[in-house]
Amino acid sequence: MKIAVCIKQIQYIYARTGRDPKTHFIAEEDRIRMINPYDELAVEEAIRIKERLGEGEVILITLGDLMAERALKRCLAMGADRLIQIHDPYFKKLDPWTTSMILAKAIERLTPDLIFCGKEAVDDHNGQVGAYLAEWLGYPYISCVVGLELLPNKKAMRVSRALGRGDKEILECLIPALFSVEKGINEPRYPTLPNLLKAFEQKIECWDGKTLGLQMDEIQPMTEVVEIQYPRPRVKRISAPDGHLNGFERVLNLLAGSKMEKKGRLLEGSPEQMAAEIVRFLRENGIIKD
Amino acid sequence: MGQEIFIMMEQKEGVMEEPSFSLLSEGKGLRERLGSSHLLSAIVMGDGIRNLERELGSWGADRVYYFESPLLKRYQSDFYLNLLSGLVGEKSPDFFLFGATSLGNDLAPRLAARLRVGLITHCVDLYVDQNRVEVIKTISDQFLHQKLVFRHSGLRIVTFSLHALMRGDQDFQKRAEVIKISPKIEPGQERVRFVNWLKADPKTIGLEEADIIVCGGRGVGKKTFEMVHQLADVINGSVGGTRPVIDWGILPYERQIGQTGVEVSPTLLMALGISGANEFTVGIEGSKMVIAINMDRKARIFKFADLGIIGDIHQVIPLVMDQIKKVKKES
Amino acid sequence: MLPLGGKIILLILILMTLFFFSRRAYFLIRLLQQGKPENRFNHWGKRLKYVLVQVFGGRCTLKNVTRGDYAGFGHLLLFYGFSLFLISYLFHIAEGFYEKLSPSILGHGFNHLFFLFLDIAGLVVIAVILWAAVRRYLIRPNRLDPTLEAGIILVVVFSLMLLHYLTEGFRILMEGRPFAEWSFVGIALSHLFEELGLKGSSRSFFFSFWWLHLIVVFGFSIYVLYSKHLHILASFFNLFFHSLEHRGALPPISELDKAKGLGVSKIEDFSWKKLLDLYACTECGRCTANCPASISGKPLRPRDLIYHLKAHLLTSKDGRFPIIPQVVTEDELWACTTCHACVEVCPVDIEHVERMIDFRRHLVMSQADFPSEVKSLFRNLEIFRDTHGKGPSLRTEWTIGLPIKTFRESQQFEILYWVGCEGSFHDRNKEVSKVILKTIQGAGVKVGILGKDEMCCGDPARRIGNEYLFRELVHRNIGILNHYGVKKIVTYCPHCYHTLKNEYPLFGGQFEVIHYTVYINELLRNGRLKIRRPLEGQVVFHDPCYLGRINGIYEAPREILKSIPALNLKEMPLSKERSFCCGAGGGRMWMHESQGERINQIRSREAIETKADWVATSCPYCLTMMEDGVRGQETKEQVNVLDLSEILYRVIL
Repeated sequence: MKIAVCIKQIQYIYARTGRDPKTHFIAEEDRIRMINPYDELAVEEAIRIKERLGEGEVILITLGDLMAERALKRCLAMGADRLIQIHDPYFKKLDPWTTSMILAKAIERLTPDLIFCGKEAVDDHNGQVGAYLAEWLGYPYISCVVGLELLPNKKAMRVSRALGRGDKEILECLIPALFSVEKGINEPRYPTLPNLLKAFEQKIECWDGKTLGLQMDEIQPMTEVVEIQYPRPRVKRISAPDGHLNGFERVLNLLAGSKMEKKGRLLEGSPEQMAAEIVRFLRENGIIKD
Repeated sequence: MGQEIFIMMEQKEGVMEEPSFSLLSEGKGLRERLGSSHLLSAIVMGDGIRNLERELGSWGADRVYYFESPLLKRYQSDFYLNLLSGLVGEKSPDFFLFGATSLGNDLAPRLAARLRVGLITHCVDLYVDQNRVEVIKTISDQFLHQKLVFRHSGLRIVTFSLHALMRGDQDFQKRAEVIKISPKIEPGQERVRFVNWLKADPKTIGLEEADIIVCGGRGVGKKTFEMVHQLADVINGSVGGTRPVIDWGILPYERQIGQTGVEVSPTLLMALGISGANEFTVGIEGSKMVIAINMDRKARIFKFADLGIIGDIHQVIPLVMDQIKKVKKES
Repeated sequence: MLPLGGKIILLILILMTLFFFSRRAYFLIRLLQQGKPENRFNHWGKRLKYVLVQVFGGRCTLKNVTRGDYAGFGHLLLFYGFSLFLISYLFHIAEGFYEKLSPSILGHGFNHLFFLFLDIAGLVVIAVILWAAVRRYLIRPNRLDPTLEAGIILVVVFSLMLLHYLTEGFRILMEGRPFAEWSFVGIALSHLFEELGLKGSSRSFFFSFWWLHLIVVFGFSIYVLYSKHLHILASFFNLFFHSLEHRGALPPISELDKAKGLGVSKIEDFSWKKLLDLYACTECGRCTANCPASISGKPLRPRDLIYHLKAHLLTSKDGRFPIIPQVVTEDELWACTTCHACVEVCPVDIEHVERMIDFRRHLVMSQADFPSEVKSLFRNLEIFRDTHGKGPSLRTEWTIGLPIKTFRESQQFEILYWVGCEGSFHDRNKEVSKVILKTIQGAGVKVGILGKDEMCCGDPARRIGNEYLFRELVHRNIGILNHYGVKKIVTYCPHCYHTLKNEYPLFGGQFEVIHYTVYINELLRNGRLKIRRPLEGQVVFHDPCYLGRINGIYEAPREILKSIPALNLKEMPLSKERSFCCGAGGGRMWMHESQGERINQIRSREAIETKADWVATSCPYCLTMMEDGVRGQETKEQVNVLDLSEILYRVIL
C-alpha cells in the first residue's frame, strides 16, 4: 500500500517580545520552526498502517523552503520511506487553493492508495487543503479522523470521525481515499537515534514546477493576504494593564505577550450566595440549559 | 429581487442551535454594510423542524431554504454538499457564511472546491469597502492578524471563528419566508457511507476529549470524593483528579491531570479543592473556562480562574447541585 | 616433616588447588574481557594509595561506622585476623616439605611472637564470626539475607580456627615442648588433651588435623571464587580501578554520531570495569538499605540488581539474551532517582547509577521506549529548549520589574547568573530566582543573565538517557557561553551546577561554576553582604543530592543559616552525606510515581518530625517536592518550605 502524507513546515509563534513594529513585534526567538503537529499525527498514522499491513511505502510531501529540515527528517525517522520537497522559485504567495493544486500534481505522480494530512495547520488555521486535494484528485475525503481500520477486503476503510465534545461518527469509504486527522488519533512515536541519524543522511527528493509539468498561469490564487496586522490585545492572552506597574513595565508586559494570568472574578460570601454565583456562571455560559 | 447572502444554519435533533443565531446577526451586519439590498437567506437542513419563519425571522433572516428529509437529520457531507452546490448554482448568492464548527469546517472547503470559489476560514471580522471585501482572521496562535481579500468575483465563502461571533438583537415581529424543499436523495450513491453515531459518554471518554471536566484535588478529601462524581453527573461532565487523588487510589491514572498526567482542553473545568501547583496547572492551560473553589484566598489556582470562589467546597457544592436540579426541573 | 608419599600427596593437592583456582580465575577474567574497553590504567600511584587507604586502612569497611553501622569494625578485625592466618598457611605448606618442623624456618623468637598473635587472632575471629552469625541469623538486619552461602563461609572460617587450635594443641603435646612458647591457647589445649589421655595417639591426631586443616584451606580457596566471597579478591582490584572522574559525571558516548555504544542491552555492552563491579559485590545490602526507591517500596533494589546481573554474567555463557526485561525490569531502572546514596555507602565502589543510565540510554535511544510522560519533556527540550515548553522568549518573564541586563545588552559583568528552566518558568521557583538575584545584586555584584540565550543545561535529558538530546543542548550552550566570553557562572539549581561544572568540561566547556549557596556564603564572609537583623525560629536544612552527596557541598548552606542570629539550625536524622532524596532527580520529576509510597512524603515527614518552623533547601526540584510532600501529610503540624535564599533575604534587607 502506498501512502502519501502532506506535511507542512510552520513557524509557530508563541510570544511577542520584539521591539520592531516592522516585524509586528515578533522577535526571532518568538518563532519556532517545526512541523505542524497535526501533520505529525498523520505521519504516525500512515506508518502504523504500513506496519500493521507489514508492507507498503510512506511518502512524505512538503511544499516550500526547507525551513525546518531537521524536523522534516525527524518525521522520516519515525518510519517513513521517502521525503519529497516541492519547491520552485515560481511559487510565491501560495494560498490554500494554489497549494492544493501543486500538491495534487505531485500526488498524481505517486498514485497513492491513501493520503493523509493534518486537519489544519496551527499557524494559519486554514484547514482547506485536504478537502481541495480530495476534490482535485477525485478521492473520497473524511476530515477530523480519530480512528482508522482497513476492512478485511482491503478495499475500504472504516473511519471514526470526531464531531467535537467527544462525539464521534463511524463512516466507511472505499480506497483510495484522503483523510485529515484530528488530535487523539494516536500518540506520535519518538524516533530512535539510529533511525534519526539515518534520516539525517537520507536525501530529500526535490521536485519543481517543471517536474510536475505545472503551468503557473493556470494556477491562480483565490485569496490574497494584503496585510499582516498587529492584533489588538486579546483578553485571554494579555493581562489587563496592572496598576502596580509603571508605564514602561506595562509595555514590557504587553510585549512579552505571554499567557498572562486571567483576571477572573474572585468572590467570597455565604455558601448560598457562592452556589448561586456558580450556577449563574454555568447558565450564562450555556453549561446548563434553562 | 436582489442578491443573496447565504447563512448556514445548524440544528440538533430538530432544534436550531448556535452558532446559527449569531451567524444571522453577523449576516445582518454584513447586509447593512453592503447597502441593505441583499437578501439574508438561512439554509436549514433537517427533518420535522418547526417554527422556522418566526425563529429565524426574529434573528434577521428574510428567507429560509429548508431542505427537509429524514436523511438530512444528521450532517452527511455528500448529501449536504450536493444540495448546497445545487442551490448555489440556482441562486448565485454573493456570500455564504458558516460557523467554524465541526460541520462548517468540513463542509465549507468541500463547497468551495466543488464550486471553484475562494474560502476564508476562521475569520473574526469582515469589512466591506465599496466592492472590496476584506476579511480579518487570526493567525499564529492569535499573535497576529491577517487581512485577506478574494481575488475573484461572485460567491465568497467565509467561516467565522466561534469566539468572534456575537448575537445581535432579536426582532420578534419579523417573519422569514420559508421555502421548503423536499430533495430527492438517493442513499447508496454517497462515497462516504454513514455507519453509526457514538454519543460521548462523559464517564468513559478520555479527558483529552472531554468538554466539561470536574477535577477534584487534595482539598476534597478521600472520604468525600464521591461529591465530585455527583457534581459531574449533574452537569454532564467527566471526572478528573490531581496527582494526590490518583495516589489515594480512588481514580485511575488516566484521570490524572497535570505534568505527569494528561493535558486537557475542555470548555469548562471546575477545580475543586485544588491549590494550583505548577505541576497541575500545566495540564489545564488549554481550558476555555475555569471555575475554582478553594478555601485559601491565596491559592494559586485563582490566577487561572474565570470565576474564583473562596469557600468550603463541602458546603458550596451540595448547594450548587441542589440549585442545578431545581433549574432543570423548572425547565 | 612429611614422608615422601605425604609430600607427593601434598604436592598433588597443591597442584589440584592451583589448577581449579586458575581455571575458575581464567573463566572469570575471560568474562571480564567481554566487556567494552575503558581506560582505568592511569594514575597508578594515586590508585595504589587509594587501595592502601581503603583496604589496609580499613576505610572501605569503616566509612559507614559513622552511620551507626558497626559491622565495619567486625569486618576489619576479620580481615586482619584472617590475613594473619593466610600467612600461617604458607608456613604449614612449607613445613610439609621440610625435614624439620616449622620452628627452624625463621627462628624461635619469630615463632613465639607469630603464633602468639595467631592465637589471639583466632579468638578474635571466632568472636567476630559468632557475632556475625548471631546478627545474620538471629537479629537479621534488613539489609542482610540469611543465605546458605554466607552460612557456609561462617562455618568454614570457624572450623579453620578450630582446626588451627586442634593442630596446635596436638603438635605441642606431640613435640613435648611448646614449639612456640607463648601460644597460650595451644598450650592450654595440649594440657587438656594430656588429661584426656591422648598423649599416646597425639601424633596421629596431629597429622589428621594437619591434613584436614590444609584440605579445608585448599577447598576454601577454590570455593571463594565460586561464591560472593569472590569480593575478597575482586574488591581489591575494583577499588584500584575505581573511577577518578567526578562523582555523578556521566561518561560521554564517543560514537554517538554513528549510533554506536548507545547504552547497555546485553551484558557485554558494559565496560569491563562495570563487570568487575559485579565480582566485587559483597552483597552487604547497604545500597538497598539506603536507596530511596527501595525504602519507598519501589521494585528497585540495587543489591539484587547487581546480584542478578552477576548471576546472568556467570551463568549464560552463550546466546546471551537482552538484560531488559529478563534480568532487570523497566520498573526497576526507571525508579532510580540518581541520588547516589548507594554509591555513597558501597564499601567496594560499585558504580550503580551509571549502570542505570546505561540501561536508560539503551531504552531511550535504541528503542525509544520510556515512560510516556517523558515524551512531552523531550519534545519541549527539542522544540523549545526548556523543560516547561515555554520557549526562549519567555525565559526573562520573571525579570520584569527587576534591574537586570542580559549578556546581549552588555558584557561588563562579574558573574553570569544561570537561572535554569525551573527558576525561569516555574512560578514558585521564579520567586526564588528573584530573591537570589536581589541578594547578589544587594552585595553590589555586577551580575548578568543570558536571557533568551539560555537553554536547558541538559540534565534531565541526560539522566533519563537521551544523550543525543543532551549533547545538542550542551553544544549550543557552550557555544553561547564562549560567544559571550563567560568566565564565572553562579547557578540556582544544583542540577545545572553539576552538569555545567562537572560534565560540560568533557564537551569542551571550561567555566568556573559556583553554586549560589557557596557564592553567597563567600559574600557574607568577606563582608560584601551583611546580615542586618536576627530571625527567631528553627530551621532544618534538606541537602539536595546534587549539591551534597554528588558535589560535597554540605557546609556552605549551613554556614549561611548559622550566620543568622537567633536562628537555630536543626538536622534531620538523615542529613549531609546520608541525606534522603526528595524523589525528583534522575528525571523522576517528569515521571509518574505509582509504586509504593511517594519519596517526597517520606522525606517531608522526617522534616516535620524535627518540629522546625522552616524547611530550607537550595534546589528548585527539592522545593517543589518538599512543598508537595508537606501538603500531603495528614498531620496538622505546619511547616513552611523555603529556599535558603528566601530565609537569608529576610535578614539582609
